[in-house]
Amino acid sequence: MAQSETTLLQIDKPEEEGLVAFLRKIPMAVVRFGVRKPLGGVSLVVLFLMIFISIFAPYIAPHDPYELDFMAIQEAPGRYILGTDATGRDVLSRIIYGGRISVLVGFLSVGIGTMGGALLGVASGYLSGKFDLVSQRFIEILLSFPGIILALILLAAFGMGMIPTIAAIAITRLPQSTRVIRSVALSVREFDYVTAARAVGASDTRIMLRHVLPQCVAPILIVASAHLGIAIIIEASLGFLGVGIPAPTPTWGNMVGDRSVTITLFPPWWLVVFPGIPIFMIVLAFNLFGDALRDVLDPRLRGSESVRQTQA
Amino acid sequence: MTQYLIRRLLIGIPTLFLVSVLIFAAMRVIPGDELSVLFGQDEGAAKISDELREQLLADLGLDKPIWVQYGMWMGEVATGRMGSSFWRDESVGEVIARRGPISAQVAVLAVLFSYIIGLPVGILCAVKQDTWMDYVGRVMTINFLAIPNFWLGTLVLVGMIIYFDWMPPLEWEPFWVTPWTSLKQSLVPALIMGSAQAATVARMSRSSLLEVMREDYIRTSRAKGLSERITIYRHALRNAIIPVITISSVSLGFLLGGSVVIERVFQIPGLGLSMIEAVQDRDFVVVQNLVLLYAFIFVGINFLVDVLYAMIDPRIRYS
Repeated sequence: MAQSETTLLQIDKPEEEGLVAFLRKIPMAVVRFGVRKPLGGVSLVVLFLMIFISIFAPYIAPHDPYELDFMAIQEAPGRYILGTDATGRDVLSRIIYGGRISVLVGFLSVGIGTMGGALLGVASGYLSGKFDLVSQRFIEILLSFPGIILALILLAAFGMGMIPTIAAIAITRLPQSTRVIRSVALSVREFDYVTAARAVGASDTRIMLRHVLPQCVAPILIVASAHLGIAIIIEASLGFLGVGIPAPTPTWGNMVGDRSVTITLFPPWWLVVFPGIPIFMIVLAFNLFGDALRDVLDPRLRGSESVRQTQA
Repeated sequence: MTQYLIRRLLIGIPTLFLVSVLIFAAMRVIPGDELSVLFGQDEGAAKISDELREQLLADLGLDKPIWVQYGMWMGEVATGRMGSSFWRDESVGEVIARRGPISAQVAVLAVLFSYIIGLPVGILCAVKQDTWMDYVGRVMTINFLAIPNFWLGTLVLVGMIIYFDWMPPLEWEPFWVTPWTSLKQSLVPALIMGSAQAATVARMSRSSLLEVMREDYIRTSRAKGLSERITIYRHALRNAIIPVITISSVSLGFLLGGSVVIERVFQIPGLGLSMIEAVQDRDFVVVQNLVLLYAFIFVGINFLVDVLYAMIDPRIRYS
């Protein structure tokens, strides 16, 4: 009798609730995710590594990225591990510090853009009517421009710098997030508990925030993970073109595109090859992670992936 | 069907109008007054005497009320002149006429390459799903989607210069004068743009074909005894290709405006390069006209895709 009682007690143990309990479940969820989707797990590890390196750049980079060494102008890899540019700045250190910008701009712009798009999408989908009609027209207009060109136009209006760049890229991420979340909101609207909430007299705002939005968390995460790669490519392309983050701040993009730091007619291979590799790695990692995340969270979205219109 | 098409066309017009108003407003709310933006905050603008300032404003038409300026712009768009660039001695219309065809040529070639490379890869991956060919194909597509095209372009450019003794052409032959030279000139940039697009085409066609291959009529076709080849090419592919064409057309629309990055890498005198130059020179007349052009191209391409859809899928014509 005692044995079954203890067994029953174990089954009846109440599940922990609250934020702390939720946070405690995350490591196990991540491990399970890694086991189930090894490619996604590896990508996640790579991403963590890159973010870690970016954060602790001052301790990891061998030299100061702004330090000029006139004894080593445009030197091939050797003494300086990845070579130097025409003013003697170490390429490796600049790449490590450049990661900070890319990671920061990427996360912030996608965070703001996706959240903003999600809020707009929820409002648009739930409220319908004139608001929906008008906002969808604006979204269509934003969609008619490729990401880079839209960002370029916005930067023409905003000027250069980190905050304008983040704002510009965030705006380019709005339309697609809005569309995806809007379609989710359209279906959530018809759920019974939403109707019940309306019947009870809940305000529209409350319903949107408290009932519709939580249903959209999975699509938001999927959209955000897809956009991270795109945002980083856009930021790098803007840097390559010379707009966005101004020199001498090193970003991966402007290291590839900067023509003023080469003393020869065209840049030597180590100035072109090395800065592009981390861009490729981080975008690949984000893409693979995003795919794995989508497979886990909502395999139905598999066929209808949003077009990765990143390069234009 | 005509009714459907007219409806789709009419939807495009308010969009264009809205774009024109928005970009016009955006270019006018640039912080600081217009002349400081043009001539630089401290160096140029402060030194302009008052009378010179008034004359400049009058020349540029900036002293008139906003709606008059907008009206003037719309009038110029209608006549095809589209306003004159601040720094160059020509109208934006002339710039577009000169540079547009080059961008268009590279764009069309790029889309062609994307199909030539991407479609076979996609089909192969779908037909040989889960074999090593599929995996190789998928790995390659995923990689190509992650490679930034300015990096690939620069690498190819530097590689071609070093190993093949090739320089990007300084002057671009128009297509109708010397077609072969013109094509050769646009080959490399188009190939690079095309390979990035090819990854998308391959991915899309693979997933689309996989979906279609699960359909009943494909099973029937095989059961009837039709060879696998006819089943795939005559039946499955035709239906699978529709979403691929849609996405490709959107890409074509984007590329027709000129790939900003590739044009910068290879110094192609196209519309993308005009855009970069206009943004850097703060030539907002050019910017607003180019934006209008992009919107026009987008609406046009969307309309053509709708026409194509209606032609391919009879169900749409009667909706």
